[in-house]
Amino acid sequence: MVKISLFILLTLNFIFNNVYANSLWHAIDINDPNLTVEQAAQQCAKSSMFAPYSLEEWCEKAYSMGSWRSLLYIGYYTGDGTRYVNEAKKHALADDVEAIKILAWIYSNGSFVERDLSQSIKLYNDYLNHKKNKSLTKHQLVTVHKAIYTIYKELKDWQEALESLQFIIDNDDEDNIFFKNEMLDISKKLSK
Amino acid sequence: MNKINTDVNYKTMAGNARLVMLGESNHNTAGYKYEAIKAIKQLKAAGFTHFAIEMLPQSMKEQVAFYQRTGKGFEVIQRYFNDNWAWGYLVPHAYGELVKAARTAGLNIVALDMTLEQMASLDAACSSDNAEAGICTDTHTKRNNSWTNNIVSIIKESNQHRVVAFMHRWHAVEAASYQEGIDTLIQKQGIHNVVFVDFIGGMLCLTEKDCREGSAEDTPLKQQYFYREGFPYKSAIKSFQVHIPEKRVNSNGELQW
Repeated sequence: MVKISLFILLTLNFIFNNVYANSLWHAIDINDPNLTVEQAAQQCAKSSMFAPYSLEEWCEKAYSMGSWRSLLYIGYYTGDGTRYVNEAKKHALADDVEAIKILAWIYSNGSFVERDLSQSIKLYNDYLNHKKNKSLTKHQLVTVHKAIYTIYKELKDWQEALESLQFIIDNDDEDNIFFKNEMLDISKKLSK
Repeated sequence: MNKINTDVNYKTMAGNARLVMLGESNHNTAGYKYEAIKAIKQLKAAGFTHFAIEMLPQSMKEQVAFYQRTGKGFEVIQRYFNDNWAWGYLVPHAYGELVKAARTAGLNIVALDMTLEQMASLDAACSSDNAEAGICTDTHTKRNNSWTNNIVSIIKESNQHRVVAFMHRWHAVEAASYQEGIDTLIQKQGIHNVVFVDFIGGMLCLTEKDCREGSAEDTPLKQQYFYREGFPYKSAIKSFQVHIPEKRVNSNGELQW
């Protein structure tokens, strides 16, 4: 009897490890007292790919632990991102600079809200000029300028686009060829 | 919501695209892999030359090339799916069938992804909070960058090359503010003729008997096979959604729709 139980236990353990234990998706106990917010938020995000049937459970858990940004995935899953947008607005009003940037992103892509590019640019500028953001890294600044550039390009506001573009070219090493070519294109447009 | 079209035709959707990304809305639904088999057959006939797949790591390039060349050694590929991509009933088998179908169709198979070890190491180097704050680049985005470079190198190798790539939807397009999708990454490298096809609906089975409905459509549409133009969230390229009926895939892997 003991041998049979041991065999079953080992077999189940083997199956469990093979099915769930790799770095794509980990089966973590949602009630583990040592669970961190980061782990819960990761489980929430990854469940949208690997376990949508447990997405709401994980995302609510992450939210209850303080990760309001996890509500994004509930929005994708249910098609209703109202809670996510409301939390972003609430946190932005409370001077959470990351929330200001997320709200700018929400308005730029129009997920769960009416797309509003002017509002998005205003919020990205609020983020860049915020008193808490005096020591942003070059990478952080470039990321935001890329977002702003994309919007001005869509709006065909070439003068404003050039400002962000110049900042990107001066500070970014990754996509430099692309942005230099964009600069040439815009310069041609403006010289016509 | 755009109008539905029951004549699901991948050649029409692809148009003159150099890259068609087939995105599954989850990795658990076996039916998406069988739908991808339908798609790649039609796309091969339309002139596509390569089939790239997220679910195989670049480290298996040699094994994949050997299988491509000889038709032998498939068990190594199937074992990889069994060990790492068993996210639902018949799922690893269906991934295997997809790779077999690509070879049979005459498409060059391309293993896209990093190894699990590389991913684990990158995971440890950048938390999602730091990624969101723009302090570092997370694993998901680094994978997107790597796949983009791989696909671009194939497309630029010859003007005859056209790639169909199979992946999760949140690689094809942006999921979170800090996770740039292949849709925009690839345009920065000068490739603009790109189409995204998102697979939705179907039946999600964890075991033979534990199945869940996978369609978010209204009741009359749940059992229908159709496509429509557009994607409900951000996409920088021409996009479509293909809805497969809420039906089970047979245990021998046959489609029922």
